[in-house]
Amino acid sequence: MSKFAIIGDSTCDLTKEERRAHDIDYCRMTVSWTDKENKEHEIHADLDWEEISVHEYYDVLRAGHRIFTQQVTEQEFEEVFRRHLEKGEDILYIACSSGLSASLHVAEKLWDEKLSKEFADRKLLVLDSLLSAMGQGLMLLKAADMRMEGKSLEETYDWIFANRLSFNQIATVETLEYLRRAGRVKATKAFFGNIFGVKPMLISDAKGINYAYEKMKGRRNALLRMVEVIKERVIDPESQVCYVTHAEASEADVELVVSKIKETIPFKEVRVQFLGPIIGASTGPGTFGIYYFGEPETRIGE
Amino acid sequence: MIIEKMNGEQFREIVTAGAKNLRANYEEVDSLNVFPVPDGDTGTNMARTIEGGVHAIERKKTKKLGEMGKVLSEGFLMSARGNSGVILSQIFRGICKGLEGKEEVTAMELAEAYKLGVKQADGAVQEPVEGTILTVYREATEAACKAVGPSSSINDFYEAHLKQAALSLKNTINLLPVLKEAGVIDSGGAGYVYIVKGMVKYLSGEKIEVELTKPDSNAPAVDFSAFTSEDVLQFGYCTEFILRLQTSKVDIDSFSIDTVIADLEAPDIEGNSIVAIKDGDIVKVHVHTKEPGIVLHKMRAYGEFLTIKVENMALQHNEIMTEEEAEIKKATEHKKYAVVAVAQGEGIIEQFKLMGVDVVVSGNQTMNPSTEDFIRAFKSLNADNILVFPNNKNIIMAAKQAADLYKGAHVEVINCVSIPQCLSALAMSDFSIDDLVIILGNFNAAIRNVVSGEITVANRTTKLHGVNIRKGDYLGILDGKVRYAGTRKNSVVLELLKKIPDIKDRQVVTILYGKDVTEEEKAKNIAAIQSYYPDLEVGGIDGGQDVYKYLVAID
Repeated sequence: MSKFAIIGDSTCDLTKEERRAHDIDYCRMTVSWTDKENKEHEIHADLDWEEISVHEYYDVLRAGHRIFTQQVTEQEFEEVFRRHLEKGEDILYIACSSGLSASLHVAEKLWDEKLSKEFADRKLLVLDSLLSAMGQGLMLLKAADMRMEGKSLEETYDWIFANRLSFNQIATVETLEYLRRAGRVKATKAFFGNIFGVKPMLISDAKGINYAYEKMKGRRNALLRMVEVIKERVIDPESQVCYVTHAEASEADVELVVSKIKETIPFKEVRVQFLGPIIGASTGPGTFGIYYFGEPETRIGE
Repeated sequence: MIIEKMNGEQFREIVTAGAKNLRANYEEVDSLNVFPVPDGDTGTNMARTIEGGVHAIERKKTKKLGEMGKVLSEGFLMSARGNSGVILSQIFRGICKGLEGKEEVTAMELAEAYKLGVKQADGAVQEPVEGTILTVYREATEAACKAVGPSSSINDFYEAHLKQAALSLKNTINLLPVLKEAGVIDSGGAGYVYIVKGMVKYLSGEKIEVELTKPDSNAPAVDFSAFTSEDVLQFGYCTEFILRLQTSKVDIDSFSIDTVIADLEAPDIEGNSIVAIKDGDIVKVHVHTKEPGIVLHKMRAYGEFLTIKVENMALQHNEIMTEEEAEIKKATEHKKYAVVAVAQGEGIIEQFKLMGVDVVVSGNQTMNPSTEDFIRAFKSLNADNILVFPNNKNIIMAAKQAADLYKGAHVEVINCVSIPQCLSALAMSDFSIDDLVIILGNFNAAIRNVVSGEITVANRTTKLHGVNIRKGDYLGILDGKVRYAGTRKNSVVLELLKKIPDIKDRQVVTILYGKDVTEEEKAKNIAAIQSYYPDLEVGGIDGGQDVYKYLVAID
């Protein structure tokens, strides 16, 4: 059985249990903000919410503070990669979309200029997921499954690379302001102007950038539209787990989305979890992102 | 004075007298408003419509009735505003068709012309309703046609016409239930009766001492008779073109627009009112000259034409754009889709512009824009498709008339009858779809979905749509029907929302505040809604509109 390490980063949203069950490691990004007493905070964007609770974190945003996100540092990469290289493992790093973060370039540079020389017998492959959150998470889980089936590092990389556009995201936010402020969205002209109550439907496009391609009037219409979109695009739902992630949306909204999915699409399972700190900071409280395997997403935001 | 046969000059005098009598009484017509809201406008609209016709023929010295009619008809068409105004313009259009080619008419011939007015006006209204100006005009025409014979005078015709018009007007209250409930007669019919009264007064030698309002600065339409075979070219041609500079002819980067201007100012062209702009390889020019041929010939030394427009300025005094307007238009970016919307209130206008409206035509219930106002807006755009939001039932017909007359673009008048409907439709607009059918479908779906709320203060005590209304009450209207009357100023919006049957299925409430709503009232109304309907997303925008304290879109 081939043994290689599978590594993600802070945007991949896998819980501690999932990471442990599938033997997946991750490299941490950091987040920082200034509170109202002018005190500066900088913490790791940790997926287990050990440094700050989900509620406290989104309260920072709700209070109007801007949270800044930083890519994975060279030191963090080196520490995590070394841990595996020194055990004699090759590495598959499935990275946050290059359209959202430059982390993967830091990893590539570190490998090319330093670690590849030191560990000349080892291999490290960086795969641009073109996604984030549980879209990236689903790819990591798929890689772990393939490793379990005995596929090699290269076979695993090749299959996921060839199918990466089939890992789908459909998302909606309360307001586009967070994404716009973070410079992480493309939207048609139709989204400009102060349009109250209008919710964008967001995909991660073929270049890995959030693209607001359609709009719905009203939150509930937007939530229900997400389910319709999944229904239109999903492939073989019986064999997959659908991940519903949200940035502390209301229980009623979560219940609406989950029950509608269960009612209309025969997924093997629907799992609900919180959106991680990095993506949550650049999309805002109330964001919903749903991830599943479906038709390849070939659209590109203009 | 008895007129046996009516000629052009007499017809002008008769129509002018009709216009004067309506102008003398327009306020009374305005007050014939079903809604207890100070926004009646029928008298104003009809007076301005007929005045537009009169201004067009004012200085026309011809005895030829047919010629007079043609000019009158065009003047009417362009100045038409409000539904009654548009119907009035169509009535006169029909009458004038019947006068075509004639030097004078007898009473029986005039009766035939009036019958054409019935046909023309009926054709202009999609769903004719009895109890309106159409009924009054039709019945009065039928009666007058029966009353006149070979020996009748023009006086006989108009007297019979007036007698029945007055009777029909009284009866409108029995034909339209909404009139009966409000206890008023039809305002459009009343305006028409004042016109005919004025005509009869003139024929019986009575003078009407009233001044008509002055014409709009850029009033009526093109009149080919303004340049006859006898005339000498005095003003020259308004010449406009867009030229693309050619690399085979000039060095585009170093080519100076001054070269073009020097050519246009040279003695062989003697151009004036020159506007010339160079933008990359595009040169846009507006010039007045008697020698457009030389202009075109010379300009080809630099490039090739993309468009050319040459118009005799004697025909188009009122069409000439000012230099600024011309420059703006030429500089306007070409668009596939442009949006024109009618609105009033600074905040609403700003909001609409933010949401992608290219031109806001000012106007509301009390000041309806004319057909010409729309045409002016269309002309200022450089677009393939123009989508028009009239935002008031009483403005739709003028917008449609303008759409029919304008040939510079494909114009679609959207069946949008309120500001809230327009707000909701614009919020869902997405021209990147680039398919007119889908774009219009999305607009119509948004309009169908939204409930429009309007809140104002009643200016008289009455009963309407089954609701008892006291003067001074807050009056809540949903999609044109009165649904609430009361005094709760801090929760009036909530009270209106409660009247919406499917409010539980609604998600977004957008409130446009009128210009005199206090901050306290705004905050209290919002809080009242949020505590009663916590699931609704509620937001407010300062609309700054007159008359309506709150305009509410409920999606």
